[in-house]
Amino acid sequence: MHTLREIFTTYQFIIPFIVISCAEIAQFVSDRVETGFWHRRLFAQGGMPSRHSAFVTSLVVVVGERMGLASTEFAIAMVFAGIVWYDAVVVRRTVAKQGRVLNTLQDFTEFSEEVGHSLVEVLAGIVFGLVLTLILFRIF
Amino acid sequence: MIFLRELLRTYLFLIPLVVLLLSEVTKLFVENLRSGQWSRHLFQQGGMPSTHSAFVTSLLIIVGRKMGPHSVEFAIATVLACIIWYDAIGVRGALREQAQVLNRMQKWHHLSETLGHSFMEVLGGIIFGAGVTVLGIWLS
Repeated sequence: MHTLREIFTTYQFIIPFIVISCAEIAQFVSDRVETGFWHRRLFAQGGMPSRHSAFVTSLVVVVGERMGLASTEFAIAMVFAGIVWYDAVVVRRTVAKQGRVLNTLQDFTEFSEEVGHSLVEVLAGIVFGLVLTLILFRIF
Repeated sequence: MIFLRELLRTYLFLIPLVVLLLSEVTKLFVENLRSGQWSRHLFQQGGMPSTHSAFVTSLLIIVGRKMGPHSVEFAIATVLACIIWYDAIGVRGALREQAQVLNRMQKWHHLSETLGHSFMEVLGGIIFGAGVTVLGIWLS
């Protein structure tokens, strides 16, 4: 426990990785609840909550906690996170829409229709990342 | 007004967010005046100036001003900004071109063709973001 704390306080980039792993597990659980089957594959695209969002939100919290809300580092993290949140809803979902159209047009290749996220999934990812990172800070 | 100035001076991350909102409003007016019909709504993709570009340019100027162009933070912000500028034209532009082709091939699902930016729009975003940020710094 002590060495674990040491690792966490020394290598802060590990915290977002723990959060993204937990978000992956949470996606499995939410998919099971929604569909009733355990058929989700590891690292499949899309899903609830958004892993990308949880990942960058965790980074924002870590930077905010260590460097303060007034720091330039926090500004950089915030802009980075803002772009990832936006792109999850808008840009990556466009890929899913095009995939859906392509799937109706042809049968040679199956395109993924699960890329990207809805706004609710991104919001859930943000809350998930925020809460989990704060909990990790309280524990360690 | 003084409170607002203090807020922006202390919490640097708010400045790119203000620039983001201003560029979004500017885009709304520019695009609606250009097309002549007031059909565009806020936070619609594409258009002049590029909001993404204004957002990251604003961050770049703040970081350069606060930490100096020789800092590690400025290096991070520059790389982030370059990727966003490039992807606005490259990746999202490719999505628009694919959407145009797909819309010509079928009539069931209409895909948005307004995403992505031209070089001029990204340049406009950079100039807008830089101008507003420098003006904001100069005024305070």
